Amino acid sequence: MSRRRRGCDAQAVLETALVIPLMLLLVANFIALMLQVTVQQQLDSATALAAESRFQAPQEAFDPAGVVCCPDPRCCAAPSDGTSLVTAGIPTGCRYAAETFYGTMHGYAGILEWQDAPLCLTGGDSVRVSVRFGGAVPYADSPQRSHVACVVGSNSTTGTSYAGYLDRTLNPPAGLYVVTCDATARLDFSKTPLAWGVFWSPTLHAHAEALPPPFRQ
Amino acid sequence: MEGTRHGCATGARRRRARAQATIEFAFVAPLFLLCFLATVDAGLWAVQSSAEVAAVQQAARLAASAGSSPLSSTTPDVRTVTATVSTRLQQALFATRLVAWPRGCPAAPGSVESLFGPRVLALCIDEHDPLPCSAAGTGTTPPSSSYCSDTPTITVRLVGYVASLVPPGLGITGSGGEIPTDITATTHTLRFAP
Repeated sequence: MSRRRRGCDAQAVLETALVIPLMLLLVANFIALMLQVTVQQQLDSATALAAESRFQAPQEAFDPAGVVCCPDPRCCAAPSDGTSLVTAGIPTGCRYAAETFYGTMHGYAGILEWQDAPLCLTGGDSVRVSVRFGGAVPYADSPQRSHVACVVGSNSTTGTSYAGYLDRTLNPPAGLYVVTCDATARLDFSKTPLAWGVFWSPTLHAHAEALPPPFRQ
Repeated sequence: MEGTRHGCATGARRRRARAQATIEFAFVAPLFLLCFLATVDAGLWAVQSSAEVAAVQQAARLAASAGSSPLSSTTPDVRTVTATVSTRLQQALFATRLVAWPRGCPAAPGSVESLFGPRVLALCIDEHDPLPCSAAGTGTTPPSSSYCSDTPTITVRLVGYVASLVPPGLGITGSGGEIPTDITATTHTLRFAP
């Protein structure tokens, strides 16, 4: 075999060695992008349903002592489960939102790293864009490490009134009180079979607002 | 046949070069085809998944609102909900059939396949009612008494296998040609006394 012939062979091998990994890398990253789109949509869906489900609970209902959620201890976990949230003393609507969110997002537990926040907050104003949750503050008894954070207004039986989130883009300039839910998670591709070729981990965020149904206003 | 001074191959060398090109093609073509199929399949899967997530969300809203009508005191009929979302969902499903699961929900995608065959998605509705409040007054207070005034939860699931372009033998399930799907939406609903 001549030197030139060996040179041609070597060139072909080198071309293949360069092109094949590049092609596999492109495919892996395309699949990762598709996965990101799907998870983002699931996150949006869960957050929207969570915000809406708050209105299935009475405005003045607060959870009594001993109530935990997420997963629902009535079906899926023991009350002493470390992942459970103690919701005693916060509006029942917050627990409904959390149950809806956790029930809808259960499929991606292995690849999402949640950025936890207080479950139940009150107050907040859309003009305070630079402050997290528009300046809303957690209820005194709110669990601090929840995958979803909801700003929920409520009236307690003792007469204390807790404001919801004031959205001034609705009915400006006075605004309207709405329920908002936020969830943030990092999609960790290193825990997927794509880890060998995908070196980015996007942070996904979902925000949803729900207006009270007309008959409750 | 004579070789030239500057070309890589002519004559016998050209035949060898052709043979080499054929072998290279035989190696690269399946790999390229697999990558191409994987790319198209990932796109298809994303389109199908997006449509499924939207459909399940719509079905959950529908089931929750239908169930909370004063005229209804039970879980809405799964066939009605399936028919409502199927018009939108079928456009995105490629060679996959959508059916209503008769009662409760299947445990896993395999259950759908064993009942309806391959490439079938089943929509199911599962309702969890709260325990009756009267149980708290029996003397021994059950641990779930705090939940007796809760509204029911409705879970809508889309379970089964969607069609894919992965050749048989290379799929996740071993059989190929399909990808397992299990998408859930849970929400609370109101229920009026009958």
